[in-house]
Amino acid sequence: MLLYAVVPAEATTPASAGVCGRELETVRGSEAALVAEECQRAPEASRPMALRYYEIVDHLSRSATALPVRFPTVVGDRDEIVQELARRAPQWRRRLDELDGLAELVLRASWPDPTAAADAGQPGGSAYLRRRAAQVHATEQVADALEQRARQVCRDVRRLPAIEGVRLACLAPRTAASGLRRLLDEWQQEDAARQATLAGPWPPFSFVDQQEVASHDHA
Amino acid sequence: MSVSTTTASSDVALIDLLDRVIGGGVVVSGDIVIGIADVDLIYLGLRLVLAPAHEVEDSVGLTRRRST
Repeated sequence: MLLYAVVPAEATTPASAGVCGRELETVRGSEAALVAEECQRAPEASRPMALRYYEIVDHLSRSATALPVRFPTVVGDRDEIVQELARRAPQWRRRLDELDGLAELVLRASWPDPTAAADAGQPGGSAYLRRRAAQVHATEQVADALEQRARQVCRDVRRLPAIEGVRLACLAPRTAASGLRRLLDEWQQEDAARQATLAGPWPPFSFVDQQEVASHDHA
Repeated sequence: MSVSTTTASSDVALIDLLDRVIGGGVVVSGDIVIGIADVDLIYLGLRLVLAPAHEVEDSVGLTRRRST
């Protein structure tokens, strides 16, 4: 069975077909439930499948607080789901309560590398290491500054791996997107060469296992 | 340029979304069949998870640093 999301045990989940074309089932435990689909075979781990999976999880999350399950996770049968619920339902329920009404936004920021031009005429290992150290330092500084700004609207912030620049996951009410966009606009306007994008809101994929969320409301 | 109108922001958002779908979320012990064109190539009893490439690379990098 393909797993989609953990929801509160009492949640009413909408009738919906899954990626395998079958109706979703909600297997309920004492405190939490797992939404799953009977699939004859594991779904292909492809981009269209992952997007379809996301659409289903997003739809679920609009009717109940949901902890999305990493795609693609398949268990053998309902008994395995029941066992998993028996083992983890209390922990999941606590997290569901903490994440009630919250969604994830991902912001990306990049900026010109001032060290690249300065060291362009200095080949060699030492110049490279100096440039690399400066890049890492600059990235940390920008990440700290952006995280500080994001925390004005985000209940929690996590740094995500990024090949270039900074990527942050923000946990916030769906309505906070405009506030975060405004903060990013301000950051971007300080230097015309800066780039920033904001994506979401999505179900809180990056925050399913966090134990503490600030209880105050910035929204 | 406004954040909301950044060129190609929808492509970036799509990449970030896919990254989170396969790199985030609850991890439950399960199984996965890896196959191509409807042919099952390998069956894995999972404690293994599908992860974005950059996370794997980062993990490898950490391993190398620890071993030196």
